Amino acid sequence: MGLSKPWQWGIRARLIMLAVLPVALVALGLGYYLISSRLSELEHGLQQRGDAIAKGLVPAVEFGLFSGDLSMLRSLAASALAEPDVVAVDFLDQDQELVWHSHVEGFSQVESVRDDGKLVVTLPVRRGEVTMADFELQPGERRLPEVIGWVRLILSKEMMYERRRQMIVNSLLWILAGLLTSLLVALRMGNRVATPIIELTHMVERLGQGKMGERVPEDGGGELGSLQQGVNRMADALHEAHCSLHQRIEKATQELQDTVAELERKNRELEAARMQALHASQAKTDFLAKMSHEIRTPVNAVIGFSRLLQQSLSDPEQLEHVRTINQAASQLLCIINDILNFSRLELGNVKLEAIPFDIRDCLEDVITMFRPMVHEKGLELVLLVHSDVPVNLVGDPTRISQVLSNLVNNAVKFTQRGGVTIQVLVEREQAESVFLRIEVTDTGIGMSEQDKSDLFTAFSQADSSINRRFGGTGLGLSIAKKLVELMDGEIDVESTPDVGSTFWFTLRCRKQSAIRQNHRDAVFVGEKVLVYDSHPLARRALRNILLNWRMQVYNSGDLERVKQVLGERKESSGEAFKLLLLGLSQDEMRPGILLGIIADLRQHYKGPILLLINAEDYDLPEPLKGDAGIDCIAKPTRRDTLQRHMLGLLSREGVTEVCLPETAEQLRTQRLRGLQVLLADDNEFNLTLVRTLLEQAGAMVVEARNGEEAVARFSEARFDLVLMDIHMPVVDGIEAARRIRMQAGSRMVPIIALTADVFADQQRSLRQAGLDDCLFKPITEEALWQIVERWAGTKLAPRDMPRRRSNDHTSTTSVVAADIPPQLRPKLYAELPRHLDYINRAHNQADRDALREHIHKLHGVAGYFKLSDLLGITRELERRLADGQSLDDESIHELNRSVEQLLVSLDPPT
Amino acid sequence: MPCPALILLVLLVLWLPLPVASASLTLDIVLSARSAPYLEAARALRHNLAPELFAEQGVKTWLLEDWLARRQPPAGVVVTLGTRAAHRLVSLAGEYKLLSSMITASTYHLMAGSTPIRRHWAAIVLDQPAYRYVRLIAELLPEARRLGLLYGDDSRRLLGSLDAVGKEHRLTLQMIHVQPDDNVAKAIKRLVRDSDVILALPDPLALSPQNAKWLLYMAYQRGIPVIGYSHALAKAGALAALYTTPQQIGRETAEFLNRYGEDGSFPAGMHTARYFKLALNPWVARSLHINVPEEKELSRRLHRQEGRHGAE
Repeated sequence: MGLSKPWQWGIRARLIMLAVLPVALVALGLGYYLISSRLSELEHGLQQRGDAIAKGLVPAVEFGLFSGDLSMLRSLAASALAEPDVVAVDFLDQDQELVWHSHVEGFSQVESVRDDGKLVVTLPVRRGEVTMADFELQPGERRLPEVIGWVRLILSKEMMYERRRQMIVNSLLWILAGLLTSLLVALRMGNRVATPIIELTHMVERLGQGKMGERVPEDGGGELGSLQQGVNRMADALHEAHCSLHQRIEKATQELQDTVAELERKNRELEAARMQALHASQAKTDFLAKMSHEIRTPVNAVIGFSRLLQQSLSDPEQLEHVRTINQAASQLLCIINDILNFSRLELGNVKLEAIPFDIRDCLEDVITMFRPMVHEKGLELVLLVHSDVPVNLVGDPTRISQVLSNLVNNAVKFTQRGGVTIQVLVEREQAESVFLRIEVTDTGIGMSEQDKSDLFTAFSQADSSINRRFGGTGLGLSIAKKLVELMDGEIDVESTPDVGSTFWFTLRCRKQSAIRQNHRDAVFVGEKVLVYDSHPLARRALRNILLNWRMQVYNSGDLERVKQVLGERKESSGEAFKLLLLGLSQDEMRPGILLGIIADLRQHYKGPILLLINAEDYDLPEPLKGDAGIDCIAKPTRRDTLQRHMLGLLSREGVTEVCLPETAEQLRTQRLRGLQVLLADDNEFNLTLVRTLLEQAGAMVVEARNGEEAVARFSEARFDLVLMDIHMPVVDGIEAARRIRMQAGSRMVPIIALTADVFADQQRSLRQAGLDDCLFKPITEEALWQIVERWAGTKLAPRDMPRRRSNDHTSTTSVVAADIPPQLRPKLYAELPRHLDYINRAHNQADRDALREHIHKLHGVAGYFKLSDLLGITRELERRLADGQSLDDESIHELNRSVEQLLVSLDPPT
Repeated sequence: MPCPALILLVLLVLWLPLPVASASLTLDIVLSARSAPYLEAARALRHNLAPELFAEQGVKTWLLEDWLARRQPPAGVVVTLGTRAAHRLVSLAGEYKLLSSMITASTYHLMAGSTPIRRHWAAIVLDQPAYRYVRLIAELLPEARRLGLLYGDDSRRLLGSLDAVGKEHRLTLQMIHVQPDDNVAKAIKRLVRDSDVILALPDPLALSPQNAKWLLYMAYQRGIPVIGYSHALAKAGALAALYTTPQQIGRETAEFLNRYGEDGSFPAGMHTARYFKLALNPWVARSLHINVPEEKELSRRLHRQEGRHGAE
């Protein structure tokens, strides 16, 4: 253990050191100085005394030496010897011959001059003078008086040494005494200072240990006393605070415990409530699913049968009644869809897709759907996609169409004159995404600020009279708002009463990395075309389409100007237009005016003319029917429709269509004429259904019952469309699609998946495999026609479209009636047990994949025939398998029971 | 033709040793050294010169070296103050009158003996005449009969007058000749033993500053008063002393020159100082139990005896 460092010493040690050290230093320093001074003084004093005695002797000895008076010398020597320390006196003559010597007893004359312990003082005796003259008459050299003798004084240093020793000892003793005294004083003072401080320190430590009752005696004075009092007061305050804190802590702890207990209780209640809510939500979802199926099924049946009835009737009045029934049922279906969609949104059951799509296709679907309604009201409908809008995006086209349809529907509903304009702009663009702004502007009745306040609130309409006048549930905008917000967008309206409204919404879409090119767009590169339309936006929209095809476009809103330009560019010159596109207003469509316009134009232009008209069925005036260079289509038109008619006029593909009125039968039987379709499904019912519908529409259908067969069929012929079931034996639909895509020339053929799988990740895998779209089972006619129309480029939309279409995967609308057709019953009677055997075997073998596959197929059959009980059971089993759960025996037994009951209900085939 | 009376008058003026009591007398005062005694003497000399005889501009004071290096001819009268200037100038030839002042008699005799006597040379010495000492002794020590003194070759000349004057005052001289190699201490011892009063003469051969101390000491031991020749001796232990100050010698020199200027007399030879001062040492008197009168009174008496009243 070594000595602690000075800065680690306690206060007592520091005080002592503080008191002793300076004193010691001063004492030692001063002592040394004084001792050394005294020593040198002693020596010097001896020397001085010797000198003084000798000097005193010198004048006295002079006469004795002068006169030779030895007695005088003796007495002088004796008086010198009487001085302390003088041990010998010598008087010498001028030749330093000894004249007289005296010494004390015990003094050795021989050694006297050589002994270092002796001090010898020798002084000359000079002849003294008196001043005799008052002044010097003859200044001469001053010479030292003549030396007549010497005085030699010998002093002993013994006494000096003794005195020196005594002095040193005394000094040291005094120094020691001083140090001791200072040490004692320091100790005492240090104790007096340190002890109270140490006591305070100990007390503080005890306070820190929680002994709040400790106090120090207040016996100190001055600052220490103040410190003691202060510490005691501090201790009192600490004690009080400690007690108060302790009380508060106890109270808080108790409150905390109570709160924790309450929280635990509430947690339990919340957990119970959560479970209840979950169960309730699940129950709601199940209810919605069931109800949507239960509600839609009869309504679809009404719609379906009314159509069938419509096809079989000829009486106009009856047709009108059926049409009314159809409309009412469609309206009811729309209302039901609204309510169900709203409920699903409220429950958060809506998941957005993220699939590649063309925004223009999405918009064209919507306008195509509403175009007949718009034309029927005599309004103008314009779709303008600004040229900077990236069209190949990744998002949910279904939800976008849903929102847009809602807005367009409202715009058309509330506009009596003028028109509706849909514009798509870029709000801002980033490297990988783009924020689009879609505006729907109408020249309708508008609304006030007050009306706008609750516009997007569910179940509210701007005006109750509107509900009476225009109908509607008031859910459309709230549904649109929720969908827009799901897509990270905003929705709002700007409106002026009696002027019109502009509903706009924004959405964020990712840009597609790979852009699919349509090779047909290259056929018009460089061709000169002249565009006329009095509506500037319509003209601009058409111009954008043509410019995108890299055509040379000249556009004008003035017919006179058009005539002038045509006159300037003769057909014989290289500047002549290859095609003339005329967008006609309602007035310009009147036969007399149209004939006049065409006649004027024909004076300057003999080439093909494509008329874009605000009507679905337009009967060209007779004189124009014979002009093969004139064609007409409804506007706004799809791009592919426009392209096809332009090609037809320009004789590129040899397809010409004349806008002739068509009967419903002709429409129905000719809409798919020439369409080559490959249909792959291992389910006979699905095959039969879809094949029947397609063949009724004039399409040529080739069947395949598994993926491998589908690939083989595809390679043998040219198809315009492939409908591919996903879950098939041998090779499933995804693998089959992948193999088809590896075949040359397959890229241009759309492959549509037929599936009941609605999960987002499965749809993504379909896209990656090369499938272009999905048609969800159970397949509806509307969905089928839309898919075919979208991907086969064929005008398929029936005259009366429902206001919205629903691609709700929970919809289980079926195309057939509730009763199973008799011709399908034997097959059903055979299929059900077969599927059940597969399921039982897979369950017994614990083959989860096979189990899931066969339950899925059985689910499809049940959905197709609307076997609700069986449908519910298979759905639940599929969901549990998808969640990773295993199926117990009881669940399989329940499934078996349901099938057996069903079989019993079916009349067994004979 | 000029008037004969006028011619006669002119000749008479030229011929008659008219007193040179005219301002045309020139005087050079040559100092042996630039020291206080000489300057005081010179100042006193100039102060006491008759202005009608010695015009201010005709009197110049020189240091010896400067006077020797001068280019102009000397003044009509040259006065030296001190031994050195006297020694130097006395050997120089020149028609000017030389007055060596402020020297001792022994110096005079030495100069007179070593150099040819110069014409127009006079000296005023600082030494007191013998009778003055004797009169003093008679006043202070009327019972004294034996006057002891040490003498050397320099003071031999004084013995005769001392003896003669002494006899008049019933004083017998006890003389001890001292030579350079003699044991002065023994001589002093003998002198002290055989004297009632001792006279210290300014004879360096007889009494040196060293010996003088022992003379005073031994005389004191025996109770024998000593009469000295300087104020310093009185202070050193002599009972009394007679001396001449530089101012007095300067005054006396001026008077000598004034007489010369008045009547042309320039008596050659040595002249003792006329003016003197008395110094008494009352402590010595007290120690020797000698009643002495007041110094001023005694001085007056002495001056009166010389026919002067308060001539100091």
